[in-house]
This record gives sequence, C-alpha cells and structure tokens, in this order.
Amino acid sequence: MSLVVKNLSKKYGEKTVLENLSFTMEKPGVYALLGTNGAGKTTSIRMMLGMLSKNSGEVLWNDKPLDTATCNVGYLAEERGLYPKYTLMDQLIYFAGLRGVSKSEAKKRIKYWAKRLEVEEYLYPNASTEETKGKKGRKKPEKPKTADQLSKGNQQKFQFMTALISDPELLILDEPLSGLDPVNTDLFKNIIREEIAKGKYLIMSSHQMATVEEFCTEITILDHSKVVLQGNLNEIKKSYGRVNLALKVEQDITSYINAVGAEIVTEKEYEYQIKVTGEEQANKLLGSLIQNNISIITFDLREPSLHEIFVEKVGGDAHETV
Amino acid sequence: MKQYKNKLQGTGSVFRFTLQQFFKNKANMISLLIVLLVSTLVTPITTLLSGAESKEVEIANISRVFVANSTPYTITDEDFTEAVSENSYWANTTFCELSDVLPNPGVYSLAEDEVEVRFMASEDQTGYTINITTCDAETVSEDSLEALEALSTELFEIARYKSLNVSDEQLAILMASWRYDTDSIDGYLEDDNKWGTQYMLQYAYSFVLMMVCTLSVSYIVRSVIEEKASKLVETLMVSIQPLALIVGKVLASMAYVLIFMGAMLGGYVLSFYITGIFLEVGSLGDTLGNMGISLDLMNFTPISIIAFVVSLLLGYLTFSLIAGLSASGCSNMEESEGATLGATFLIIFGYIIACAAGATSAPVAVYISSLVPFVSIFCAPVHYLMGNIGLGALILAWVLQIVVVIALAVLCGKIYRSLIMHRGTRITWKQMLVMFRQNTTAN
Repeated sequence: MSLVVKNLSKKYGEKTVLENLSFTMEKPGVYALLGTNGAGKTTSIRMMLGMLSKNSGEVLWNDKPLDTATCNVGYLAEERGLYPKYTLMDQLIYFAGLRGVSKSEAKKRIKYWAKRLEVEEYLYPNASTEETKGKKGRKKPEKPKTADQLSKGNQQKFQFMTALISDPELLILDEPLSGLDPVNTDLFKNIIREEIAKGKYLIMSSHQMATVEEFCTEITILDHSKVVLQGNLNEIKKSYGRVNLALKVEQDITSYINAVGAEIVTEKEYEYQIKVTGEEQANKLLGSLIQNNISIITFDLREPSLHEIFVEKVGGDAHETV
Repeated sequence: MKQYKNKLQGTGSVFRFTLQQFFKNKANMISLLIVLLVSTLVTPITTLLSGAESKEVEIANISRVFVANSTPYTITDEDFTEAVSENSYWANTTFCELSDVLPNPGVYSLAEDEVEVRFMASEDQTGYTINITTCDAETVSEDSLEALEALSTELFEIARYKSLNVSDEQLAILMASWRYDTDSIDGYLEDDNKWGTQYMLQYAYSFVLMMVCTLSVSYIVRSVIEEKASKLVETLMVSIQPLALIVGKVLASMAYVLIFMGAMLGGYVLSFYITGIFLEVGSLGDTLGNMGISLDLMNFTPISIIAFVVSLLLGYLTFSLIAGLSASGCSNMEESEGATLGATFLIIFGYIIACAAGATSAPVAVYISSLVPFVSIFCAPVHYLMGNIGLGALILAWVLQIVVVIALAVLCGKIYRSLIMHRGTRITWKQMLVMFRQNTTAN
C-alpha cells in the first residue's frame, strides 16, 4: 500500500492557499504536516479527503485516486464536533454505520474503545456497581449521557473514537493532542503508538513539535501555502549537524565560550545551552575547559530540535507554535 | 447512474438516524402528543358544543302490530317480519295478522303499545287507504308511527308491483330512491356546485400541502444547521457524500411529517368513529356537503389518488431541497430564521396563487396554474380531479416539476459540500449560483 500526493494546489480566486504539495508514504508510519496557522495544513487534508475541490494535483492510494467510499479512512478533524443533544452511543453507532460497520460489530468496538479511552461511565452509566437508588429502594437507571454533558477532553476522546471505530487503514489526525491534559495526552499517545505498531498509515498535523518528533519519520513544513522543508526527519536533522551543546559545570565559563566564538542561548546556575557551528567548535571548547581544569558535569552535543528547525524555516510566523 | 448510486450511498443510515433522533426529541414528541390529543378530542368537543345529544339506540315503542289487509294485493305479517328482520329499530315489535288474533270480526281494544295497520280500499273505491290505528293513550311515539307508515307504504307499493309480475331487477329500479332539485337557468349554467367543490378542494389540498411542506422545511433547516453548528460536517464528509446526507435528511423529515399527519388523521378518524357510537355526529358526506363540496363531482379513481400522492411528494421534494440548500448556507442557529423564511415564502406564494386559481375554471388560468412549477404542485391534481385538465397535461406538469427537482438535486450535489463547509455570513442564492459555476469548472 502507498499514499502519493502529487502537486496538490488550491486557490480561492486570486489567493493561493496551497501550492504544489507533494509527498509519498511508501510504507506504514507517521507523516507530519507542520506549519503555522493558516499555512495550508488543514486545507491539504481536506483536499486529500475530497472535501475541498482542488485546482490541480492528485491523491493516490494504492495507485488509484483516494476515495473515502472505498478506502477505510479514519479522520479526527481539527474542528471537533458531536451532536450535543443526542446520546453518545447513538452517535457512535451512526458514525460506525456510515463507515460500513454493522451495529453488533460497532457495539463490540465501542465497548473496547470506551475501556481503552476510559469513558465507559458515559456510555454505560448503569453498568457501575454503585447504582443510584430511588426513594423506594428500586434501582433508578441513569439516562445515557449526551455530548453536551461532557468536558472538552472527554468529548475529544469520543471524537477520537469515531475516527478509530472503523479500524481504518489510513488515519488522519489534525491536531490530535491539542487541548488535552497531560494524562489524556499520554493516553492518546499510547493509542497512536499502538496504531503505528499495527502497521497503519498515519498523517498527523500538529503544532506540538515534541509530539511530532516522537512519532514521525517524514515531515513537510508549510509556510504561507508553500512547502519550505520536506523529507526524513533524521536526515533533515543530520543536514543541520550537531549544533546544540548542553553544558553543565561548577563555575562561570562565559569567557571560554566567547573565546571559541560560540553563542550562549540560555544560562542558569552554570548550566548552559550553547549554539555551536559544529563538532569542531564544540571540541575546541571542551579542550579549553579541560586544559583549564574546569570540572565538567554534562557535555551533550546534539542535532537541532524540530522546534528550532521549524522556527528557523518559518521565521517570525512561528510565534504561535508550542 | 452508478455515479449517483455512489453519491447516495449511506442515505439509509442518515435517514434512520435522523428519524430516530426526531422521535427521541422531547419537543417533537410533545408536539406529536398534543396534535394527537387535539385531533382525538376535536370531534367529541365540537359535537357536544353544537348541541348534539347522547345517542340512544332508537327502538320503536310498539310491542305488537296487527296487520289487516282487505285489498286484492298480498300483504301479510310475514312480509313485515321479513322486511324488518335486519332493522334493530323493530327489534321489540312483533307483527301478526289481525285475523289470527281475532278470528271473529268484532269490536276489540288495543293495548297502549299496540297498533293496527289496515290496508283497504278507499271510500270512493278509486284507490286505497292505509289506516294506522292506536288506542287513545298516545303512548306510541310519533317517530314510531311515522316509521310504521313508511314501512307499510313501501310494502304496499311492493305488493302492487308484484301483482304485475315484475322481476326483482325491475322492482329494484322501481323502488330506487330519487330526489328533485330546483335551480334557475343561470345557476345551472354557472355550475355553482362544481365551483364550490373545486374551490374547497383546492383550498383543502393546498392547505395540507402547505402544512406538510412548512413543517418539513422547519425540521430540515433545523437539522442541517444543527449539524453545521455542531462542527460535525468534516467528520461526516469522510464517510458520506453530501447528496446522501441531504437526501437522508429530507426523507427522514418527510417520514416524520407524514407520521405526524397520519397520527393526526388517525386520531380524528378514531375519535369520529368512537364519538359516533355515543353521540349524534354527521356523516363525512354531510359535513362536506355543508361545506359546499360534492363528492359526486370528484372523479375519484386510483389514478386521481396517485395524482395527489405524486404531486404531494414532488412538492415536498422541491421545497425540502430548497430548504436544505438555504440552511446549508447558514453557520449558526441564529441564521435559521432567514433560511426558513426563504423556503416558506415560496410555499406561501404557491399556496396563495393556488387558492386564487381554485376560484376560476377559465382554461388559460387552469393550464397556467397546472403547468408552472411551484404553483402546479398545488393546482395540477385538483384540476385533474375536477376534469379541468387531462392526464396528458397532468403528466406534463409532473415532468416540469421533476425537472425542477433534478435541477435542485444537481445544484445540491455540486455545491452542498462547499456550503456546509462554509463558515461566515449566510450565503445568498446568487452566491450559490456563482459557487455552482466555479465547482462545475473545477475538477
């Protein structure tokens, strides 16, 4: 299986909102679409899924145009929504039915994902042993919950469930972790890891660079509707070289750093984050410190983070990036 | 065809889910119950308010009728017994020959609830007299005596015809009821009865269609905007084509409204039937007659019923698709009023024109109102039923209506996705047409 996106472009009148986006996923894994707000990430996803007409380009799934009627796609939209007044169970069965999952199978899957996402109490309120009792001692069944009775985080869990309910082969997650607390973020991450392990194709759009680094092997960075950087994340990082030096010592070494021409990024209680031009400059600084008998606690030379690469590529537009 | 089949895939799921949610909605259920209650109570309440009295089973208060016949025609107590055998009115009455009870002629007295019917030649011997005699106590009611008089007259007539050896078929013709009517020549030429029937039928059908469409429009608008406002569109678009989404909603709304109307009609019919057991209610024919509608003038055939059903469905589809498109151009519930108003305006426009067209039988007006879409939905089946247009003209009206429905469906298919993805101010029909042109040229 493979996903090929070729020269995808979109214009609204004279305004270009996406220009020649191309990428390929030859094997299962996670592909990241990164960019500032309005860069064209969501537009790209909508065009890939056929929600928006495209001015040019094509999206191929197994060498055929991607058709959501035939390809099992799961989609967590950036714009989250559920019917506020309908019961959650009804909605999940409905969404599963639209993706061709039978009612009985949907119920099994809902049970599994409810347990996995820790939302069983909202779907099966009377399954709990602590059932409330009426005045006459009879069990008073609780009404099934509706979406508007849930917190945003829990609503997001149900939306994630709708994306997963059809056991999709292609899973597209638009900002999947935004708005989640750390506990639920870990819960979502674990599920994403499991989906990757199952051999699924994932496309993820995110502002959280750490998350992208954690999961993605291939990335595209969009800026003002154009592709500004694209490729394998490790190779991109390698191309930048090891330029981030974390150094922890027991005295002030500012003069030594300045002497080799490196740039101090941050400094806190003799713990320095230094930007070097490469390994040669870092080694020169290390030699200088050893020569002057300065005891070194940490010396860690690394490639730039995705965050740094992103900021460098999109410049001042990245101010909203986490 | 296959393309449209794909575009409609999932319609059934949308239909079931939407209908299920209509019934789970408390406000809808309360409305349904209120309508059911009102339709059930309307007959007994209006009947009681109009002064109807409790319906008592009417039985003649005559215990025995003595039959005496001195005419040359054969009329016996058995003829009476046979004639009333299936008439509960005479359940407590027995008929017997006077000669059996009183073999020897002479003076005899009748009990308070006994009556004698004597068939005899008139005094001048030129005809016959039916003489009904009671005792002086006047216990026997006037109604019972009138009924006995009518029964005796009928049996005497039959006896006379039978004496001429007429066959049963001839007898049925001779005994068939008839009525007379007087009218001026002008009134006859104007065909007042037909005019009144046509007007009332046009008014009633247009009202039903208007109610069905207006109710549906509000449900569809609410349903579409609710989905948009819930930010669910993108999630849905992955699984279903926009045309299937709107068609599923339109059909679910139609099913709900038809169930709604069916419940109302069912409640009314049931109530009419039950009320009729206890109270005096007029028959449907009488009720319509009082309104100036003559069922005899309507050409009720299976085709005419199909004509009404097809026109109703086409009208429903037309206005529903318009409502769906209008609603999809809105972004929040506050804009629903504007969307509902546009579709409702068209419905009211058609309704008013139809009511006006119902008042005329001028051929030009009949054909215009039967063929122009939006108006023909209201007028064509009525004109067909009244015999103002033929089946050909009715089919032409349907073809034109189907063209409008297809055009709206194509418009929906092309722009509905863009409309429901739209966020911002409400999209006008002009903007929709621009969108249609853009989407047609884009791949």
